[in-house]
Amino acid sequence: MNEFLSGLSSFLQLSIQMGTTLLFGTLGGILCEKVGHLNLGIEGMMLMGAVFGHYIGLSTGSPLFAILGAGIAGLVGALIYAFITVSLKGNQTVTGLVLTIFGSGIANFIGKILVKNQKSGLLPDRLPVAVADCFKPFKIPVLSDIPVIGKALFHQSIFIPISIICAVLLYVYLKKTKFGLDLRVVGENPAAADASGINISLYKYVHILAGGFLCGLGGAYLSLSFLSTWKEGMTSGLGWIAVALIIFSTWNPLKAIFGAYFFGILRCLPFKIQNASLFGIPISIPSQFLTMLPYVMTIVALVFITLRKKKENSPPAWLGNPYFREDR
Amino acid sequence: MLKVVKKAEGSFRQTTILRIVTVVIALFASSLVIAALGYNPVNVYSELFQGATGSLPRWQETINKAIPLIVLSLGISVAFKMKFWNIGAEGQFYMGAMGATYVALNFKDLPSYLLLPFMMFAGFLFGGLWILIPAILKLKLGTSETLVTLMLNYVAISFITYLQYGPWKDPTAMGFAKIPNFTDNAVLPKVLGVHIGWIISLILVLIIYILMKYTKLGYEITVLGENIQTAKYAGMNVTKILIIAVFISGGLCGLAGMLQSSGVERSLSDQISNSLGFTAIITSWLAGLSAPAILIVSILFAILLQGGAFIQSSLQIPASVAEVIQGIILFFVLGSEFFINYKIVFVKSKKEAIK
Amino acid sequence: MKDLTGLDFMHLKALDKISFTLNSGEILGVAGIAGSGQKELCEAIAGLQKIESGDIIFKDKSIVKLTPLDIIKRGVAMSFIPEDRLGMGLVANMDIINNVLLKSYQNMPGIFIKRSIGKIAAERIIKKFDISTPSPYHVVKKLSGGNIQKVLLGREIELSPELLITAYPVRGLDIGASYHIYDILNEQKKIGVGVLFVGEDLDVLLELCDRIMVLNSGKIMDIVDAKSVTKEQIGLLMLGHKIKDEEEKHGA
Repeated sequence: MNEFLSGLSSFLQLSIQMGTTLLFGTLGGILCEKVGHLNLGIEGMMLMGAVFGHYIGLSTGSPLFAILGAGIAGLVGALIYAFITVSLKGNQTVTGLVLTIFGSGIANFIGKILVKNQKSGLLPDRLPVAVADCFKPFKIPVLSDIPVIGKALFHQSIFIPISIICAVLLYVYLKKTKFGLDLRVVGENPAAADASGINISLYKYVHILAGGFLCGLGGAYLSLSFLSTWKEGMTSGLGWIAVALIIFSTWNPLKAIFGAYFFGILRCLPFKIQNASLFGIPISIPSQFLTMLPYVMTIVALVFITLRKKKENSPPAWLGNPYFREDR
Repeated sequence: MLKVVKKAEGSFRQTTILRIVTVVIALFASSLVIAALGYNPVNVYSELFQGATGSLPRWQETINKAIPLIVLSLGISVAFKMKFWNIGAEGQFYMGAMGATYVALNFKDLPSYLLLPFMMFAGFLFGGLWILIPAILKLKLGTSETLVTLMLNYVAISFITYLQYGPWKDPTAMGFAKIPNFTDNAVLPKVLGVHIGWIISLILVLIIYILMKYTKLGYEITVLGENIQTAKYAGMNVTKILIIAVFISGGLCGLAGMLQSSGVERSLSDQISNSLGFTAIITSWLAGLSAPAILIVSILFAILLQGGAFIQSSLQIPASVAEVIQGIILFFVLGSEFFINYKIVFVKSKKEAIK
Repeated sequence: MKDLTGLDFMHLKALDKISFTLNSGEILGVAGIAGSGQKELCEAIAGLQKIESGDIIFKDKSIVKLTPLDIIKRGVAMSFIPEDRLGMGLVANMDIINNVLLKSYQNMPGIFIKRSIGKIAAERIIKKFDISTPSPYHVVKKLSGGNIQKVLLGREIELSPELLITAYPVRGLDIGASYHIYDILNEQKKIGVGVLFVGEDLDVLLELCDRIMVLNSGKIMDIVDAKSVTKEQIGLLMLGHKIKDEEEKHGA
């Protein structure tokens, strides 16, 4: 039983780690969508954050610079996206996709330079001690000894509390502050926002860029803590799951925390269930079906959301009665 | 101060010239980036172009890359024309490939001239069915198709991985997870060194062109995409048009999957798309959803892709540079849309701005 | 003369127990302040809105449950010019020919659209309505204001309808163009079409129509004879006041 519990504890610890990058990306995406912009470039911004974070960490040995650099890398990606979709009113879907391709291209390129410099001795092979120590999991005494959840909650890298704090702050910002409420108007009724004197462009830029910063942090977690290295494509589709999670958590940063860890659990399950047996009965679900789960669950969540909207008497776009737009 | 004003629509010629100018500016900007990275841009560009077109085998590789891109883009364009945002081309591609593979693996004894059309039919069918899921969700519940199609991509890919490691795993592959190779009769024959997918894609370009421009269905799709109210007012059966058009869209993407698995890979794996399902969204959009333009843009993109792969070995430049160039060009074109649709006017005073 | 349309009893969300008859060869005006139910009335007849109860009878047959397409086929044509002109009847980004084809393409045999037929019809409309455009291939949204509604009205009349519903057909047009439209509507009346004319200009309504139905908040205030009613009386009705003197309202 003890073995089971300690196994469970490690499992939860890992799940939360798996969910942290996801959480950052989701929070970044929520900020973006709240101003009415769908940014499919999350994966790209994460990768840029990962590679720049690692590179700066290697070259400067400063954890602060590393983490800032990663955030700024993501922010720059978001800046390109914002410029094209806000100022130049470009197509959001395509721009986001291009950002992902571009972001991964730049990340891979910088990554190659990184490896080259490591081989030639310009850069250290591993993260300097200052950086590595800052970001590796640390134990909080006593609390981390709680069975089952102790390790998961209190024996983690500093990134984890940072992500949770960000989520809480974001929630408070959106629900309680004037800026957050104004934000809602900007996203849902730009005409009204405009009429009341809100500078829409500024709002959009600020939030899209902040979102990019968060995505960059998500990538940084992977390269500075979880894996402590750079690998091409190391985000392995997390950016896309983040897009799913944004909807799944109904754009609520608090729900996003739970959603991210839940998806983290789903990601860890395949490895645990390989030869598992529940009460002596061997079960083997092919791991790929577990991989599918986050996506399927998101579709289900989407359906629920639209079903609920329907109950509030707003007809689906294609089935509604025709409307004369006389009053536009 | 500056004021942004919506422009009256320019002529087709004006728009095309503006686009070409944009690409040239983008190439110039890319060359600055290339130079900053320590390479000679002229060298890079010429090697890139040579790598894609310099010899017959290279041309063949370029065409090989262009074929799935063309068919995918055509499929996406039909859906996009109706403002049905099919981001799921990637998933439909894989499902189509899966359908074709199923036929290839289970009907090995059919002669080629029966087996291949059967596979094409299966590819089209599976792709079409896969897209019907989001379509029906949209019709019945109003669910956004952008996100459902996107999610279904990964469901499809995971499913292929499952088949690859599970029920369809080749027992003779010595532990390596792989789906068995197709028998010869399930492989598309070659003409001029490239599998006949190239002929099929040309035919499809023609068919889609005629469909959209000269048939009732094409007309209905266009009207529906422009203005749903008007479509209903004209008595169009929105549901029917949506289902048919969307099925064609998914079907074409599925067919692209069949062509790739049968003509190039001779098997199926979860990697065969090279993310072309996403690239095709970009090419389709760049081409303004027009079939002949899709043909040209896809070939140009294929040149970029093939050239990029080539310079990786010849100049020791990472293939990611091609992605960076691609990205820069695309960003510029996306941004240039602004200058096509709007113009910036200088106004002397606030009074004028209110006018 | 066929008795064209009898709307016996109609109860919509926006309309409340509307009941009237439109005869062939007459122009029935509909007056009312914006939002009194004019839109819904037009939509309901054209089959674009669901009716809660009641019936619409056209040529002795009920058309309430029919699809818009069937209603078009029966000979009901509707042209509604919303404030932005392009709203519902036209596709802004398509050219005149493609817009003209909107209601008649279904009649073409086979799967292809013969644009040549559309071109002939478009040229006919352009000429008859004196539409100012460089060519029938000109995109509709580039046409200047009044010309857009001429295209819309022209297309509907091309269908040779027996019931023509037209709302605000002269919105924003200059005097000359407006009178041109009135002439055309009178022509339609003369050949036996029943015209339901929704308008804003009371002088026009009085001049053009045979009878005028005044709506307010979805109810019919009254249906008056255009020749004998005064502008002030219509104004009062529009605002919701009933007219006391019976004789003043109805002509013989």
